[in-house]
Amino acid sequence: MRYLKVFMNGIIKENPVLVMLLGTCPTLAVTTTAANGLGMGIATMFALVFSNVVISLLKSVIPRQVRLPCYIVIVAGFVTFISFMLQIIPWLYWLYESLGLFLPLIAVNCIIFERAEAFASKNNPFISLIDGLGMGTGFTLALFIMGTAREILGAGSWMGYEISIGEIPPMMIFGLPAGGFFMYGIIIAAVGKLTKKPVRTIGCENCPSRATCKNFTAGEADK
Amino acid sequence: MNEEKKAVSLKFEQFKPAIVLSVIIALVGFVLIVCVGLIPDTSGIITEKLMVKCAELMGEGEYELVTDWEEAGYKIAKPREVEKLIVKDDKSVAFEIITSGFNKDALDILVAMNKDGSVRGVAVAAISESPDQSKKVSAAEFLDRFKGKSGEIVIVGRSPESDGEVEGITSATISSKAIAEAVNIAIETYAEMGVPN
Amino acid sequence: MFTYVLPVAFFIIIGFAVGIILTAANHVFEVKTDNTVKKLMECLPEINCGACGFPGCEQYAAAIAAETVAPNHCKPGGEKAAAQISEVLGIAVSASEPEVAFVHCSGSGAEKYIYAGTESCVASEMYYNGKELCRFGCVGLGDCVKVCPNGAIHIEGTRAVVTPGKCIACGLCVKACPQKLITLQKSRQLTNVLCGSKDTAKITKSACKSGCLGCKLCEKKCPKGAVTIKDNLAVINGDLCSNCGKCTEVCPIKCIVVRDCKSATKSSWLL
Repeated sequence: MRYLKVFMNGIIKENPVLVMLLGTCPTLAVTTTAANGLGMGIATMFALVFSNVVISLLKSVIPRQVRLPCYIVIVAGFVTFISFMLQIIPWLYWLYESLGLFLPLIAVNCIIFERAEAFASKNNPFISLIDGLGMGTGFTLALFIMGTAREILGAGSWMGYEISIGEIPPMMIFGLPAGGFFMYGIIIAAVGKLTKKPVRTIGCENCPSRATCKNFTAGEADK
Repeated sequence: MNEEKKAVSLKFEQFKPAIVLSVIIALVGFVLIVCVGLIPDTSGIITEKLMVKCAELMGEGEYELVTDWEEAGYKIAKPREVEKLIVKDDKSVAFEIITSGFNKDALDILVAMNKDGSVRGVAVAAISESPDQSKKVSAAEFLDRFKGKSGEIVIVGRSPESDGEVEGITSATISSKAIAEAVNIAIETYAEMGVPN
Repeated sequence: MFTYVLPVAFFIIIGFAVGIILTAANHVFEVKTDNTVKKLMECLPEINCGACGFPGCEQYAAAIAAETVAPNHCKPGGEKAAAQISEVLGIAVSASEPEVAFVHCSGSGAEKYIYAGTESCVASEMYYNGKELCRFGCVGLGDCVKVCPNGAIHIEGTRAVVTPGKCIACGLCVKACPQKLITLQKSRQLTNVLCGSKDTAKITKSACKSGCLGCKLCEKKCPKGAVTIKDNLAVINGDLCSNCGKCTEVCPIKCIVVRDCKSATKSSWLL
């Protein structure tokens, strides 16, 4: 089913954080704890889904020359709305405090933009909704994994509960930006390895780039 | 006639992007204004958040918000810098003061006063500076430095040499100064407002 | 609540101004692109595989628009792309019957000088029509080999030979050969003349023992009238030729050959 394919696309094949490497700023900044990562992911997913749907509904109205300002205004509107919600609802206030500065930064998150430009502006609203959900879920999962790894190794806890790995004390570096980058790189490599498709070899003679290939010299037999 | 129409519609086409953008901005702005309007007004009550901080600084008890200062018997009206005046059943007093640090109106501070006009305690009700700074200046370790102060406080970068000096957090100077500003406002207001009869 | 009306109004005005500026900028800084090329590009699959012989779909579209290449070279696009392109261009295009290149030279001639210059047929051809005695002969320095994207052509001795199974009929070798000895023909045409010399019989004979003399024996013998002599050279019309091989029997020089049919139908495209 096409909808399932689009949904799973955002989680595995084109995961925004781990494959497309979009939205790395909030990823690195917010994943000091798993709970923060989860919260940021969900907040971004809301903004992504709503803006995808609205932009898809307006795709025939927005002229090409001003599409970027229009997208920004729409996304920023939703992010402001989410920011209000977080401030008002008491049991969500902890998220507002922990996200802090990165809540308004959701408005300029690359992921939301890329989906608006590449998908929502070219597809119908329902499938844009599915795509938003898929990408948002992929983003949340990636952030949750990062947050978990960094929290367990860096602070010796998970979701607020103390966890200790044997005799190893928590290493503060994983809570700092440098450690965040390390962890990010490791997770990207691991995910890349796990989702690698086998490469189909076609050999030199079928390669369309043969004419410009450095390894090919005139008159040489096939390699 | 047809040519005129064509010329006019051509003109409209050129304005279409600007018009669409303005309309979208207007719509989004309108929706946001409505949302802001729906936020409940908390200027007349002690919010739960604030209540928790009050209990932290002054203990359990009955708390009341003073809305009209002169009517309550104070010498001055509510100064602009002070948000709320909270009085406990045992007559102890606390101020909610909002100051600007790096970001405008980023620090929401509760300052509890002793009867002699010295600082009983400082708590951070809400703060929206950058995450690192926010965490550092909200720590008890820093806020406890204000306890007992009664004169004007200046933030210094080293150990305090006099009573009027408090050591700030090195990487959060602006936020530290904002808290000191709040405390100074509290001390000054307490001195001016007197005791109700 | 009303304090927010003023900022939003301000925002609207800014938005309007920005809209105007962007529209103006879009108009002023517009890059003129040929519309035909854009339309043609939409017909192509845009995977930039190079099967057509061009580096990318955009270059192929540009070449089609400039009418320098046939519109049916796109292999992944296949018949569908060819049909769409013909619609855009307003011409009738048939999906390509498989074609292969053929080098019309046996390379049996001697050299007239020893060439020690740049290893390029074009360079050698600038000096007295190339290093071969026959002024039409294949120079054999491999310009065609260099441009072939599939390695379908190689030098054997002093002449170029096409491997029909690998040829994708992109036509690049046809353009590269300075002697114009390579032609593209339908792959079902197995009979070919191994000579491109338009010289008279006397001159051809002195230059190469395998050169076509223009004796017309093949023309007379051909049951379909597919062979004609033009400018002292036998030319085979692929539409009429039935590969009966009678011309090859009668040729005194044996410069007409019938290719092995197995190599003719093997597709080079394993994709």
